[in-house]
Amino acid sequence: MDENMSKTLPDEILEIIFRSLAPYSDLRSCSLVCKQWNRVAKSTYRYGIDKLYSGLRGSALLQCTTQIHDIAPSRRSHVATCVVGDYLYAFGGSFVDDYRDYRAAFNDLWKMNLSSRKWERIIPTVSDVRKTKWQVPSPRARA
Amino acid sequence: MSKIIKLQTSDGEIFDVDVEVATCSGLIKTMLEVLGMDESDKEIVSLPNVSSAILKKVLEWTKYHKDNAPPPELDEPTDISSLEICSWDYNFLKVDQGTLFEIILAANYLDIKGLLVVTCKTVANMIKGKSPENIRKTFNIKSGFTPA
Repeated sequence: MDENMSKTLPDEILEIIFRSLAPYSDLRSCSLVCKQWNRVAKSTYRYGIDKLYSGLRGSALLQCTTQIHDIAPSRRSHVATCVVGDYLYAFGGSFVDDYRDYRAAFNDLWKMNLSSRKWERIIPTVSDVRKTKWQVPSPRARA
Repeated sequence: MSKIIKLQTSDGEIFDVDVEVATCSGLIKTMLEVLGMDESDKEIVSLPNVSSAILKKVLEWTKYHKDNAPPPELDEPTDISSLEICSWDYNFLKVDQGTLFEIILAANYLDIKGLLVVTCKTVANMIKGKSPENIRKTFNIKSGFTPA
């Protein structure tokens, strides 16, 4: 057997390597390389998703840093989130600034591309609303 | 004068190593703590998983970082996503793939975190942006998946 990485690097090393990769592009490529890589990539992916969810749970503060011309949700906590496919969806949430006695709740819906980390706001169009009878929920936290 | 410890590699070569350098390895540090060591000790520590060529590289890295730049601290011991490879390490790790992997395995076995993370990051950088087929080519991996 010639030099073969899958023979020489054990799972725990691969996992260290995989955890540093972009989970929705490079990690996916890794999962298609061979059986060992597939197994390790899957467990790394689960680890990443668990970490993402635990980071967003409860009163965690969602704070986005953006480049110029990018948009993102404003700073807020108690956001309802879920991951579908390659996107993280975030709805509502609240913002409290006791110092300035300012409170707000939101009812905007956002999605973030998990590999490019770019946010996009989802705004229902009139025809969307007519077609699906979509009613925009009132502003709320902990939705 | 600092103490010297003798390390024997898998191919039988014996290295005289400064204890301060050797204890950058978690394995050797623990060994010395558990077993104790005094001046008169002439015991040889055997490292059956490391060849002399690789131990030379590992010692070169350890010495450089002990004397010059301490390896970067990470939030989590093995979270290498934000790790940046310094230029000395970058040149140091310009080796063939077999050697790189052996250094990784030695760093893992000897428990030298700084070296482990920087070598893993080097491999991660080799993966970035490649298709599965290109990754297989880069690392000479046979797919093992049943063809569709």
